[in-house]
Amino acid sequence: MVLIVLFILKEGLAVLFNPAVKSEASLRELFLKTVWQPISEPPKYSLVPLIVGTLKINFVSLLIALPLGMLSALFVSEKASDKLREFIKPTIELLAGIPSVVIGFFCLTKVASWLAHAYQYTWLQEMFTPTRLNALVGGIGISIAVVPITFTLCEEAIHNVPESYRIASMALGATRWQTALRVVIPTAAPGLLAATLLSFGRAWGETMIALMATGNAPILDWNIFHSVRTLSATVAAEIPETVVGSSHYHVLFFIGSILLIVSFVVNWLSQLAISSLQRKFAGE
Amino acid sequence: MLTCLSLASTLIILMMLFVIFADLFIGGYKKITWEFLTQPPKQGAMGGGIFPAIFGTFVLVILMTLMVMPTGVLTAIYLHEYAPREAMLTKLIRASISNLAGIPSIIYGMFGLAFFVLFVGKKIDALIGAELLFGQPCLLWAAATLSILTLPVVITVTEEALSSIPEEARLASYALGATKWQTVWRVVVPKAMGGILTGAILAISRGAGEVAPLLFTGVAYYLPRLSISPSSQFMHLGYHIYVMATQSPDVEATLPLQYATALILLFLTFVLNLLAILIRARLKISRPKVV
Repeated sequence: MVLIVLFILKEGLAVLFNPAVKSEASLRELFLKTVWQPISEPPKYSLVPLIVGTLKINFVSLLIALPLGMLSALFVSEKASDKLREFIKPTIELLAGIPSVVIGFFCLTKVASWLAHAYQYTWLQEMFTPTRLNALVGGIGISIAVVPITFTLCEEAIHNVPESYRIASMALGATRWQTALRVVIPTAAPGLLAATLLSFGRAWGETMIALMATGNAPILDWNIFHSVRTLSATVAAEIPETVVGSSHYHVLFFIGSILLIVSFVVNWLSQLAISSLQRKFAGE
Repeated sequence: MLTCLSLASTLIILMMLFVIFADLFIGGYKKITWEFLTQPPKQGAMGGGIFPAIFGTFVLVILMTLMVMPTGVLTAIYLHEYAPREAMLTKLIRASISNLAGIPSIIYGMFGLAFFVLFVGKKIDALIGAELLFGQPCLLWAAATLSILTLPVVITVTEEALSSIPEEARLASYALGATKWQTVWRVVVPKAMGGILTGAILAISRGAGEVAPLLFTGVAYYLPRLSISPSSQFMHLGYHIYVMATQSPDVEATLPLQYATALILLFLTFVLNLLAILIRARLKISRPKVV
């Protein structure tokens, strides 16, 4: 694990310190300019369209996956009978087992086609100029991959709220749903927060779906109907084409370092959330 | 009202699963003949079968399992039976495992490239005097990369299995005069075998499905010969789907092939996952009570 960090950072940091590399891809260029075109002469290395693309897709996928996951977790923990729960939980876990290539493939073929039907409305075309493979399709794909994680973590968080809380609340006259909304959810909040963070972490690093279903064009705007290029897809697509040791190579590893650091931060934050939850229950 | 909403969400999620399965099945079942499964691709991978991809996936997964199981199980045994609870090293190891689990799979690929292929491979080549034998993407490094990816899964599941063995079993063994080592190897591990097996199955299913780590560590799309050497490239089901879907010259012709390949891959991972779930469920029911 230490090895992983070491090697990726080693290659990535070369961007910051190697003077030959710096002349072509300085930090300023990476973050303040706005075009990613590493094959042009001189190569342009701005990361901004990639970061925006990644964020666009994550936003769409979390917008879909978080409510779905949380509401379902609520249903399965509170309303469903135990037998039903024993059936639904493993089934959703099966969804988690689908390889992301397959999800990407499914989006690329079916989902994009379904959405393409909607693009026939001219007002949509004029306002948004959609392309077939865009951030929306990619976002839906990633949400399919993320939803099982959200569901499982939220369900655990909600289920771990002690029964005594619920009983006490209902003894005071609250209905089942009032109890759920005003007692259970606030208590499970750190766990739900951890679930959100970990879902984001998963969406952030997802590569195959992004490679297949997003159109892979590093366009810089906020329109979800345009193609995007995520950070991870850029790395995946361009490393086989670079010369080892070139500045392009180092920039790609720099991107990898960013991916890595963000994952660590997200993980660490979710650990904090979970341990605060544990402390809360230990005090009972 | 909330009942409706939450029930609807659950149904939507279940529907996602169903729709994906159904779509792949309908799109692909016609192509799945015995010939498809056992013939190599023809006509520039636009016809024929996918046997090399299946074979490559299998060999890769077997190699990966051979690498990950000993490491993972031993680490779990150390963590659970031997490591002092509050020591700094223990906490560091646990934190590393949890972080490893969250790292995006493409990073594993980059690591595999930078470390295994470019660093270790080159060193090995220098040692044995070969000219670019191990210093290039190949089966060995792809398997090694995947084994690191699945390591957290194996460790976590094995630890779970070890924890589920009641303390009385160990105490009884000590009472009969066994050393800690003997207890671990002759009492605890055999009892934990079910859980260890589950871990192996989950690792295999994850390893068979992941493509990103392989992209630069060893996989290829159309290899003329079926080679088994660990220092050569290989074909892989998931990668095959990816390339066919995004780069094939004639999408209409290959679409049924894509569906069929995706169906096979899905079927494989699905069966493995189901197996793991069933074993887990049975273990929970039939846990023997130590009298």
